[in-house]
Amino acid sequence: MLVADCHHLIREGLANLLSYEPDMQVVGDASSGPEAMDLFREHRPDIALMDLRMTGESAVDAIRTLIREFPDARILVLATFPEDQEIMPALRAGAKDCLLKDMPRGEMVAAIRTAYAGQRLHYYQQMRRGPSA
Amino acid sequence: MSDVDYVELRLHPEERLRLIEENVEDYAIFVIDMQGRIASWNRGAERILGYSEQEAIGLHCRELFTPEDRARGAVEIERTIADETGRAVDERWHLRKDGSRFWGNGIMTALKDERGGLRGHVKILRDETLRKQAQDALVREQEKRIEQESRNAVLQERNRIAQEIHDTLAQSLTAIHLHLEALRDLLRQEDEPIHKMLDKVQELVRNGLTETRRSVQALRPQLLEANSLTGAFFRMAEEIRSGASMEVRCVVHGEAIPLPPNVEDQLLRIGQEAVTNVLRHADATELELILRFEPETFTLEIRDNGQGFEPQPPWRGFGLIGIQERAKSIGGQTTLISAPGKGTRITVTAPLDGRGGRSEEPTGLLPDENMRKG
Repeated sequence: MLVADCHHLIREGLANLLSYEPDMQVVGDASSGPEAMDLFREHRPDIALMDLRMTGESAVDAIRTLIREFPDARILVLATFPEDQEIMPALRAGAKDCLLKDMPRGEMVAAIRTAYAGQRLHYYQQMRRGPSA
Repeated sequence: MSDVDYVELRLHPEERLRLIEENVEDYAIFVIDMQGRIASWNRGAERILGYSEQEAIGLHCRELFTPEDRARGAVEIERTIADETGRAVDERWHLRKDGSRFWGNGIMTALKDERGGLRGHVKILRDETLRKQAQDALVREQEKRIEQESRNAVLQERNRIAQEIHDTLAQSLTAIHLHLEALRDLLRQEDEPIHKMLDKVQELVRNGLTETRRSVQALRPQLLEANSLTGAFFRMAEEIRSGASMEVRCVVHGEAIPLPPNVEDQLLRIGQEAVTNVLRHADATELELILRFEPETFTLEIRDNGQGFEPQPPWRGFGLIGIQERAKSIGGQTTLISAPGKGTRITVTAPLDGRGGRSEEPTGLLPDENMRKG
């Protein structure tokens, strides 16, 4: 997996969480869109977790570029809040699902597995129907 | 003009003055006596003010002033200024004989004899209504632009603050949350007090995140601030479309005009509540948002092809009470049509002016016989 977020504490936290899953391995962490693209090309991860905004920039361009190069790429965007404005453009650009950074660890791991199995927008739809919709 | 005419006019100064007064049409020229009564009246005055010479002579000059100007003593003020300084600018709305108004621009001059004794006043003014209207329109335009600019500036600044909170404070809190989750895994099962403490800290962080989220939401321009009502609904449709496997259509009938802000606000909230219902309960594959602008009323209709329900009072739960309350507050009527397996249709009709005298009437919530029979 590739983890991209401009806040290193969040990258670290995510990597930490995922390290407890025997079937998941973080192969690279990026702090910006361009870096995420480079690492993706290098490692071809099964899953890329990308923050919606990195160093003040939207991740939408990076997602669009990667999907063009790797149509099967499983990119999941990480939102801080369910109403973050970039969620919709990121999903349209080809992200497979949208996760919340503060979702319970079990749910996050399950959502990643669901996306890996090929299902789109599974968690996002749940998020919309939940109390926050 | 020949030399002979010129010499003749010079020879008869009173006659010359009379000719000027009579012939000038672009300016109203009239004399007011010491009692404030009109003592002479030229053709321009007749044309601009509408009174014939016969009607005007003897009329008190206050009749030419608007009631507002009369009430605040403008008639006397003008005369006092003219007496003390020799002249007074007369730039105000005046009344014509038929009661209509025109923007007069002119001057009142004190008439003094050789010994300096005050004998009366002469007023010369012209109708500059068109210029005044153009100027006023320009000022209004400028005011509107300034207001728009300052509103935009406020929106931008609020957005900037929201972004900053989102990108810094919220990220730090999220990072703490993630590390606490990891910390929990490191601890052994028997460390009961530590787990309790950890729960407490995690709850605090969650509260912090919730508060941060609330601030960001409150600061961000809402759908309506950034869009027109129809724009807001199109955007809503787009959001549902990209988030749910559902056919969503947004249709506008009639000419979309801006409604009073509170009406737009309530209508958008009604729409949001109705759509939330559809997403949560309807299990629909098609959703239609219809906005209908008619001369007197606006109608919002939200229909889906989902599982429907038996609409029996008091419709608690499904947010319908809220929708009805909102509709009532803008003088609107709510109609709900649904039947099990037949989808749901909510219609809110509101008067365009947002008042509507019929808000006390019960709104019709009826099961649709036709729909039920299929």
